Amino acid sequence: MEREPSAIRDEYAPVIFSQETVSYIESLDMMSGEEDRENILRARATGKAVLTRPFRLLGSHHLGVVLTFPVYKSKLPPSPTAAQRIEATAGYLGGAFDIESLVENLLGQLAGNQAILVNVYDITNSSDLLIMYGHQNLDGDLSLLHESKLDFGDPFRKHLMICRYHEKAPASWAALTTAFLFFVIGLLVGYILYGAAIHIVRVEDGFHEMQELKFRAEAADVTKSQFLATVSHEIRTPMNGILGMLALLLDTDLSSTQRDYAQTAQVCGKALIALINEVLDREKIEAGKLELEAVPFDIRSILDDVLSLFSEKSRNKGIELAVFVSDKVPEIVVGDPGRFRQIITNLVGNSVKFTDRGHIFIKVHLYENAKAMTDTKVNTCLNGGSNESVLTSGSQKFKTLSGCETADDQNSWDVFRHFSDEDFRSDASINVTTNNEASEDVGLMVCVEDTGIGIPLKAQGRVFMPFVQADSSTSRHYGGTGIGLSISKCLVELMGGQIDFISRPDVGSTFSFTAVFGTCKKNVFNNMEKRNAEALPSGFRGLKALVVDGNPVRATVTRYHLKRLGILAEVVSSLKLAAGSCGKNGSLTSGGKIQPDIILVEKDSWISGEDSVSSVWQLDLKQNGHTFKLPKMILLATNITDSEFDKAKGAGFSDTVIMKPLRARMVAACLQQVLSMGKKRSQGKGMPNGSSFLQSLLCGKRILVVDDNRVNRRVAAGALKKFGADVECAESGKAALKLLQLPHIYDACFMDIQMPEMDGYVFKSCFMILDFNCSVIYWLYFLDR
Amino acid sequence: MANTPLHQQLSIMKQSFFDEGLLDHEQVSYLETLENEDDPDFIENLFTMFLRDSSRYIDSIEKALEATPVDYSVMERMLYQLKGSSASIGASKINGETNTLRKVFHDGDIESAKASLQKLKEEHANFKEKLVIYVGMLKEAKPSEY
Repeated sequence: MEREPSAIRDEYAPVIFSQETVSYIESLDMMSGEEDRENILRARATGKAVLTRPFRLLGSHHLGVVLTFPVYKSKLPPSPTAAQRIEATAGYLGGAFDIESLVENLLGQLAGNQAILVNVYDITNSSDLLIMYGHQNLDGDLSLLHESKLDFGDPFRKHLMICRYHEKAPASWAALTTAFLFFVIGLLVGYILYGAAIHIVRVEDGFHEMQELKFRAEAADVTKSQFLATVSHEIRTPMNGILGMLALLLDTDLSSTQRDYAQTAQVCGKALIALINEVLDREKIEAGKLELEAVPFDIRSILDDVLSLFSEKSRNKGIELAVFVSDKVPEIVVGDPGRFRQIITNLVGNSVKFTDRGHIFIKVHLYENAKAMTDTKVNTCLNGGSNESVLTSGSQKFKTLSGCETADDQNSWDVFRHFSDEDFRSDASINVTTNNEASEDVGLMVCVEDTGIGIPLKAQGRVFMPFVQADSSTSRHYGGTGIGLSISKCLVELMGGQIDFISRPDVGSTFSFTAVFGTCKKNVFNNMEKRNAEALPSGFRGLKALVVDGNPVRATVTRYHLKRLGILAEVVSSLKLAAGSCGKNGSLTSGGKIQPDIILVEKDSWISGEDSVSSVWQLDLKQNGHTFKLPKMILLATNITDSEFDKAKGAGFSDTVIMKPLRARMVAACLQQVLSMGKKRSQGKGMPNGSSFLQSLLCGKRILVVDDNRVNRRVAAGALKKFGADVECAESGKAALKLLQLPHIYDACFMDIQMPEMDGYVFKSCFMILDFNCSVIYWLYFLDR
Repeated sequence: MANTPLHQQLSIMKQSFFDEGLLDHEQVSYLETLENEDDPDFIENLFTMFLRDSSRYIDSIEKALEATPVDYSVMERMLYQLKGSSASIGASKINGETNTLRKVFHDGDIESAKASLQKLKEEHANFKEKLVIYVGMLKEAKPSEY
């Protein structure tokens, strides 16, 4: 730069001191530059640091600004005016900012990957942007600008820095991809959330729907139960009417066709009632409303009853039906006789239905004994030797009741004999050893063994399921609904036992169940006995009998029944032996063999044995020289043809043939006839004719008598009690309703409908409640004359 | 049953009841069959009950008839009860009188009804007297078991 001496001026501001780097400005008059001069003057006047406009600096020719500070003499009054300041000025201090280098240095440190273009402007005058650094033309990527204000400390001036990229940022794949990915992820997340929300909504809807359906289902279930109860009651009442009428009809004189028709109708009606009862039972069980009674009853008589039910059917089919109750089973047990009977009836009924040949054998043992039996069986098995078949005269026969094979090996003959012999040996009388602990529970095991068609292996799993029969054709062929076994199972389980079966197709099935009963002292039962069925006749006690039967199981059964009547029985397997054992020892006082009063011969043994029995007899007897009464010979048979009967009569058997299945009472009746003991005195007072029907109808039933007249109540109660009913009285319809609260215990209700407060509502309520084995009999006033 | 004098007296009395038409033979025999070991005092209790109840009924009937206006519902009720009880034990004469009273009452003739009621009361008093004695004798005749 050209230096020339400064022009004549009023003031001069020469550089006196300077840094070495800017030594070229020494003795330069700062006021020579226009901007500098302006700056200095301003600084002097304001007392603040002042920046110049950007201009090319001396030396480097870079764009820059100069900052000027005024330096005052010390004596400056507080808050001075501009004039005062100017007066007090001693000198100036200035610094040059080389903006270009500054920025470049900064950029150099900070630039990074992308080339950054920076423009710095002095924008004090907004219309006129003074460049401090950077190219005049703004090029580069104008789309992305970053403006920042710079403050050099001079309030008078404003500075702005604009940064931009030199090149337009390439469409960054990373960015794009990232963005795209984010977008996708966002979409996915959104979709998931949406899906979740929708799912929740759907689930909730589904839940509400289900809840509603559940309510409907429950309501439907309740309705179903109510419906069943009502309908069955509605059906039962007229059905009972029909059956009653049929019974009355059958009591009158009918021709044989008429009788046949009436009986068929009766059978159908009974079947219908049974079906309704079964369905209702099922309902009750499912609803958990079934309660078992706890009354004392006699197992043996219940089994007798069941046998009577099936005796005809089994006889027609030629099946041997028998019952055996171990002596160790107490005479009286406490439980629910009706349900017990139901189970036995169901099992025996099934057996009878599905068996065409062979036998049906019902055994009742103490549970402990039964278990011991199986252990014994295992032992004997281990010891070798088959327990099942025995070769008898060329044909293979099994040691069972009828000789046919049975499904269950456990209850084989040897084991059975072992225990039953024990029974017979231990006591000679019927009285069971009463246990000292009065009300201990006794566990019984009941087996129903048959030689029927068995249950196919595939169906064995479903046997106890309701409404399922072994085969779809079973119902068609054999009848039945398939509910019975499931009910039996529930009842057995209610009695604290289990039911199980072993079945081999074409061989047979053995159903066994256990049940727990209570025990009680005998006196308690005596009171009951008076009202219920008559006890076994005791006129046979002490009689001696000889049983001739080749089949040991069957003989044991016969012995058991005789024992119930108090008759001592010995068993021999053939007539020859019989004749031998009795005949030889003629005198009564000889020890050892018993002289029988009666000889019971099983028809099969007699036929397969030798003929002309009595001749053998008489021969032997006469040989002994004693003439004593010939023991009566009675035939035992499941069925008998006329020719066989004639043959028997010819051989010396008595007229009476004891028909199987053996029932103690029936055996007693036959023996009576044979031995002509005369009619036994009937217990109870003389009853008018036709009362036996009432007796059987009312005996043991619980009856409610409702009448507000005391005297009438008394008489009615007395009359009903005479027939063996259990009577309770109520004074009014309202009292009756209270007693009839479900579950009620009554079987029937006698009600005077002409009581006060006896309006239609009360009456209908009574009527509606009285379902479940109960029928309402309206008693208008039978004493009205 | 031992044939003690007491028992003889009892049967004579019972027969007189039948002869006078106070008790119905058939019904009483039937009631006797309802007696058994469970309920040995059946007949006595029944008769005693009847005596008490019938007195009550007759009193109520009288009151109802005397009242103004006549209490029809009570009358009806009591007559019905009396009719029932008397028939149940076979008190034929009382039953008959009750039926007569009932009929007259239903016809609406209050005066005749009152007259009929008087007759009923007489019969009842007569019957009660005799029956009380009979029941007493029955109690005596029962063998002491305890």
